[in-house]
Amino acid sequence: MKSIFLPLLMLSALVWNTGVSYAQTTVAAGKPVYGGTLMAGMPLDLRNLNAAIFNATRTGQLVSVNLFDGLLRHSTWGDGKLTPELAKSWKVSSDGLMYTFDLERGVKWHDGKPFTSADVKFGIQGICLPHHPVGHLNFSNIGSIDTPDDYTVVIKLKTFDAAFLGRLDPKWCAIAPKHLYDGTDIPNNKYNWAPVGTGPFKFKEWVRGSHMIFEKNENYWQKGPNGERLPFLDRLVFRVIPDETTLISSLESGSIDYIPPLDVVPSSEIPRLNKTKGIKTVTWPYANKDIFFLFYNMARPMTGNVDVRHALAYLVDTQDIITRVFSGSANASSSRDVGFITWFTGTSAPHYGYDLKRAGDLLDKAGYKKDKDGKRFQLNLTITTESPEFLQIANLLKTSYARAGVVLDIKVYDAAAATERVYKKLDYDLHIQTVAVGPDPYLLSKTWHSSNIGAGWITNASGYKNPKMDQMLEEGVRIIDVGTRKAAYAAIQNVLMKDLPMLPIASSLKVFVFNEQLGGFPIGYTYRETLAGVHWLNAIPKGR
Amino acid sequence: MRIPFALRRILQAVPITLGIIVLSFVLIKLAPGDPITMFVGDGGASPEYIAELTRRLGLDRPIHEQLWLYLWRLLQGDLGMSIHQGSRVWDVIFTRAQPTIMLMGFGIAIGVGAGVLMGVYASARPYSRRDNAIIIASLVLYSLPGFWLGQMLILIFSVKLGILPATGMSSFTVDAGSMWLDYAKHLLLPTVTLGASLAAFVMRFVRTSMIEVLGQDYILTARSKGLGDMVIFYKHALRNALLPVVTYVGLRVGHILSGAVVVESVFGWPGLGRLLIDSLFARDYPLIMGMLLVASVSVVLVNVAVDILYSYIDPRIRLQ
Repeated sequence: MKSIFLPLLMLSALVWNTGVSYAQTTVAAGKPVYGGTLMAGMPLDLRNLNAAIFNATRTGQLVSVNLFDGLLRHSTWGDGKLTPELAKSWKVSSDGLMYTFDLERGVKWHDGKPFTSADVKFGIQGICLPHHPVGHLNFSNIGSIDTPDDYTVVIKLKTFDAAFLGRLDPKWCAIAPKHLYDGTDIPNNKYNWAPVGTGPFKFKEWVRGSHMIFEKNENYWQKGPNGERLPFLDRLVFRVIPDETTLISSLESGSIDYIPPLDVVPSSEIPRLNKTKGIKTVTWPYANKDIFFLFYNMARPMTGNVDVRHALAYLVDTQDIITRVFSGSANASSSRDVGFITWFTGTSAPHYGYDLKRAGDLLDKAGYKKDKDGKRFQLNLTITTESPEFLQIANLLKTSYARAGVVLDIKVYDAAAATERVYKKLDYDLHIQTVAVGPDPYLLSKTWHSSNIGAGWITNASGYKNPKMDQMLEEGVRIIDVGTRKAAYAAIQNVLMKDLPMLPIASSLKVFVFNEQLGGFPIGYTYRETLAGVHWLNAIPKGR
Repeated sequence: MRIPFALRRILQAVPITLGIIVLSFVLIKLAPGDPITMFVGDGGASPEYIAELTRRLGLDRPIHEQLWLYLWRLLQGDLGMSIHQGSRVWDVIFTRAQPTIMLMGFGIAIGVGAGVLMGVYASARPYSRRDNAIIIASLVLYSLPGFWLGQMLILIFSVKLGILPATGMSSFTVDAGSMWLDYAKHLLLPTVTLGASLAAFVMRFVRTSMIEVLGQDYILTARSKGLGDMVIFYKHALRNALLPVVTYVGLRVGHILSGAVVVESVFGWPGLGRLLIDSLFARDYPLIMGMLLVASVSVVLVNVAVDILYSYIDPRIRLQ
């Protein structure tokens, strides 16, 4: 708690934030035209479309973001800043406990009813808090929400929370209409499958396993960076195409126009697609930092030994993985600008370069000397079928570890079985998984705080218990001053890289693949941007 | 006679189906993983949320209680609610069954049609060049894995030639033209993929069976009466040669359904096959149970239908 007071004194004035900023977009030669249809391909069907009550980042939010707005949104510019959305501005009290939001005027729900502060209050307290999977974690700290008038919302927190504003991003709380949800059985409300939002597109049709159709919201309140009407497109069609190869073939044959950045296009395909006529790809580092981690089970005798963990880290040839698995489309986690937590702290974290000799020495020191067959011990490496890269990395590690006398037994499970085995029962030695450590570094708590051991999917599966780390993580989210906060997380990253419950390897680049006659894709901080600015160039192609 | 026979066969299927339900229920629950974790998604959930969801789905009760409750609801025709889709299981299955039935129906039609034609054609001149060529072609067709054949067809007809769509049941384009023509275009590649290996099998059955039938005395009699080849082949010989084919196709329905799972994935066909995979990954217990139930009942019904079909093809067979 001590860390709070100094920044509070420093924060002598009210903090105002105002002004809308817009997504950086793909630049293409040609004149934007209004109208037409965009066909997007998705690998999975969705559970429902109400982003206020579900958590599926990869597909769900990417779709529903076109129907709903949030109060504010993580910046699209890669700097982690928050940009206004339904809240056109906000101010924070000097003690950091009171947030006053000034809402956009004239915003209407898709059914024509006006959007007001009552929707925000009910949306947070009545929908997101009880019904979003992380609602309790995000919003239990709210003491009260007042609505002095239709366009003002005052939220009072019980304790300071540096990440509070970020929790109002539509990832964690899209605003859904009070008049359609109040007094209903919210998880089973029919509008979860046929939503009414304030976003740039309106729901039209959803055929399960096949497609979804959204139509232009003629009354969309938000304008483009140069004052242009949004959205450009008349219609969005999301087609479900589960097979990755077919997804790419569908784009090549013109059945679809766009594959969203959902990690479904294998990195090895990007160079070929770049050369394919009529197709364009854009890649950029994803600021939510989906980092490929190697988890160590610290409850096991070998991986519980810090020398063994360090030795195994020295056997990971990151550059080789980036070249051979990602075809170069990834950043090393040791990178200062985009790696591990360095994107937030701005300071380098210690890292482990490939060093076979050092690894051997450490294993010897830990008491695991090579036997007459040149072997030291065997470990199992548990992965899921979710990403083809997991198996490719596992195979490279198997070869690399064998050089040091460590035998790897690779076990592959589906996500449900892996969750049970790895995240609940901690029944594994090594595990590879991608974990988001952004947009705010408070998310680190879920994988490193001891209270999250065995707590389910992507939690503290390493069984890492360090009271000092627990304290540092708890304090990190209570620091107001950004500079002090950066220093706190720099200290956290140093401890983590020394204790090494998980080894960050690399973060893959996100890739948009689309018909080159399209422009205006939101390239930037997250991929959960609306397609309001996307448009055909010069003319709408036949059939669209 | 036929109706009581069918009824009896259906009644016999009741204990089998009940056994399948109980076994599936227990096996699914024993499989590692649970629907709550998959429902929550990649962002985790608070303990309060998980407790409430577990209670709401009835997963906090002992397994035998869950089974009894499931059977009791089943008796009332209630298959429960899909955890992930939030709709009644029966509605989900009914909606998704239609594309699968369409795919399987046309796939079987193409497989049987092509198989019979090739089989009859090959049997007319056994061990000739054309017979050998057809046998080799059937071997090739049978050996091609469905997912590979599907991808190759997409590559040739969609990506290279651009004459057929790569995925889905409909174009959703604004100038798709006739809805039925659009459906037909989308149906062609998946059904050919699904029907290919069936055609190869049927061809070999028909060929062997025809060669055997064509050597029988009544065919000799027919020839001596001066009947033409077409009449002998298609009226006299084929009808008898078809019996083993009907049996075979009846038994293959389960396998064809498995093939449909692969084909649906490759072609983004919104049917039951893909639904089963998704529901298994999501551990959507009620939906998995509903689909296993529907699949097992369908296979039983198809086999009853095949038995009945026998008596139409060969009137000497009596259903008792």
